Amino acid sequence: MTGHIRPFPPDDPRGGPHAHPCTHEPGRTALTTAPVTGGEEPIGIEPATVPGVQARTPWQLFLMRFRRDRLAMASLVFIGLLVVLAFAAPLIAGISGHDPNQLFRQMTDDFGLPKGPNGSFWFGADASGRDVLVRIAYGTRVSLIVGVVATSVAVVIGVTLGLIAGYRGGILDTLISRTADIVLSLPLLLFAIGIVTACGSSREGCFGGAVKPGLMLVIIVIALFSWPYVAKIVRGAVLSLREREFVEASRSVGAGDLTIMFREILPNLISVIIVYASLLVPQNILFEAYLSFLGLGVPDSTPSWGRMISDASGIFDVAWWLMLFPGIFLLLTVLAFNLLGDGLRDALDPKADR
Amino acid sequence: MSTDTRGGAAEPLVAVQDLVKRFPITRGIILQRQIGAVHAVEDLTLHIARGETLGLVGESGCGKSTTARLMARLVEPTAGSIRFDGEDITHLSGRAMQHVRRKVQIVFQDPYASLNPRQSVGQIIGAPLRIHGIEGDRRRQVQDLMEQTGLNPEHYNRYPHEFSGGQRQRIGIARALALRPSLIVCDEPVSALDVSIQAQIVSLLTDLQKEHDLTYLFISHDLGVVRHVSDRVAVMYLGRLVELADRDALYERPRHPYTAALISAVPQGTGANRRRIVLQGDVPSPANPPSGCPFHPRCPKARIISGDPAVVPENCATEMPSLTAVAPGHTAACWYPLVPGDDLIAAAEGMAPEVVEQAEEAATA
Repeated sequence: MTGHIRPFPPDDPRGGPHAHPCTHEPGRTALTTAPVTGGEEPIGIEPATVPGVQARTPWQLFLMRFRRDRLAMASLVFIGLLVVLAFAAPLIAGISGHDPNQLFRQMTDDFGLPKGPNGSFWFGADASGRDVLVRIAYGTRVSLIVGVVATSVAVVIGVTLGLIAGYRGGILDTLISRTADIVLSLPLLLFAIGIVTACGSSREGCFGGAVKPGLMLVIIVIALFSWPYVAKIVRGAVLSLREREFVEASRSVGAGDLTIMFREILPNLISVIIVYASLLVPQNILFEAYLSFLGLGVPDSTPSWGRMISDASGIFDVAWWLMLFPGIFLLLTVLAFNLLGDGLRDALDPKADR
Repeated sequence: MSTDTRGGAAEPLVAVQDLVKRFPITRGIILQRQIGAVHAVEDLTLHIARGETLGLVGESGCGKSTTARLMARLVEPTAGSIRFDGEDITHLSGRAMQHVRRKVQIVFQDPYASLNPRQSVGQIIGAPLRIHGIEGDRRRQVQDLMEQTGLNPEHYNRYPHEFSGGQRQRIGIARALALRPSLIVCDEPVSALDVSIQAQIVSLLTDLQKEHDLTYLFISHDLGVVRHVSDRVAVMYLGRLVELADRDALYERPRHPYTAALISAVPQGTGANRRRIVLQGDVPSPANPPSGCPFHPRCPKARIISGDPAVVPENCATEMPSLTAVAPGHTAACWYPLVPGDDLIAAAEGMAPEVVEQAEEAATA
């Protein structure tokens, strides 16, 4: 403790009064040397831009940084090709003449074992004599749809609840946060299996027919277990954002809670949400593969990577292609989404070099 | 910002009566028990006349910013009343408050934190117009405001990070001006800026005041700036108003010992090796303010009265002095206002730090 206190220490970073030009002279002239407003050069000595230098919007800065990230760009291209593959699945089936559920007797031998890749079955056939390439192409659809739709649902729920919990606080925060904690502490796969079994056992589905077995059920189950991650991250970000002065400024001009939440705070969360969503997509694609592997995903008639790997597990020592090709697709897809997420985070990080 | 002072006679634009703001200190996670309170603002009473600039000075943590937020109704007062234009706005809400918001605006200290980084200048300045549903070509209105505050209207679509601190503060001022308010609370509007830029922003504020007939509550810890812009000046210490007077009277003939110490700390540009009143000790915690006059543990005048550095007069230690008139238009909250001849410098030097600590312990026990 110093022996005395001075109201304004000389090293006060906010500019102590010692530096002020008018303290020695009470007159008003010292401060009025600045240019009066509305002149030819209204900015005075604080030039914003040098002519000819183009100011960049945050979006342009993001694109510039993202383009430099080769891994992320490669991932983006790969994901683009996957999307094309998913759309082109019927085309591949048409060209090869192999329907995804068509059984080709010539592709199984007398012991019921499938035959490997050849000129017309590039990725070989499965134990029932179905074309693996065509089934992988159709499986891409399931993986992408589940990954993207389940993640979108989880993001919408998570962002809304996270915003409310972080912004309103109090009892709503406690309620939402504890619910999220409870969902996160459930043994995920066990519960997923339980719900899928309960809802998928009959054609009517559960909740009075609101949830039918199949793709929709898988999406709902996955979304149910992924929203808490989003909600927690959003809540944390909102907690710090709502204390920022611009929120107070917005309130001072008369903005209501909804305006502040969605117009002031939400735009500042976009980068967090995009990054997190892109990391959640591969997680959810894998989740669908687990469920399908266990026979709880989409029906057997719909090809899915997880189910193909599951089918291969019994005979992969004699039919390696059954495991290898869907496995590679699953691996590369998950890797690409993860790398894309990393690239997005790097490019969106405001603390990165500009 | 005229030199003549207009206070008292006509109805004041703002009348604050016994305003109190305490922030609770809580302990516990689920069952939060209140274990104390930070006395941010205590019994604040002041008036601001139409068209005048009231300066408010004090050290960090003395309640200046809380006062600003109370005036702009950004925090709820614990007690007391705020009357604006004859209307009690202390606990207004909803539609009625929206109407008051149009009349009372605030300019914030930190031009980096007070602008949303994800909104363009056009959106930021246009927000009040949008929220209050003001008719007309919004882009034109915003560009008008930008021109008035010395910004280039062509920068309408730019983002805050593309501007310097001074320009950002102009954006903040343009936003505050958008609703044509009558009172603007300036909460340390130049403290975060370079000295050369401070001068420009202050002159912009004075120009705008003339043009739009504005009333300012100008808060700063910089006595030089306050002296430059204010008609009257109020001094706060530990959440309380200790002195309020016309600018020149306050700076030239301070009556409260704390004001005198504060003014003596302003550096002089003449190079004269002037002696300052060096107060001993630190500002006490606002969570546990001293009894009686909050300044008494550090007060050199109290020692002049008692004649002993270790002793303070009893009423200083036990009773809170109220703001009383010491001269026309000049009030001070002190049992023994300064008189010519008081040697505060010597009295302050005679006080050992331990003495102050002891006095503080005795007062807050």
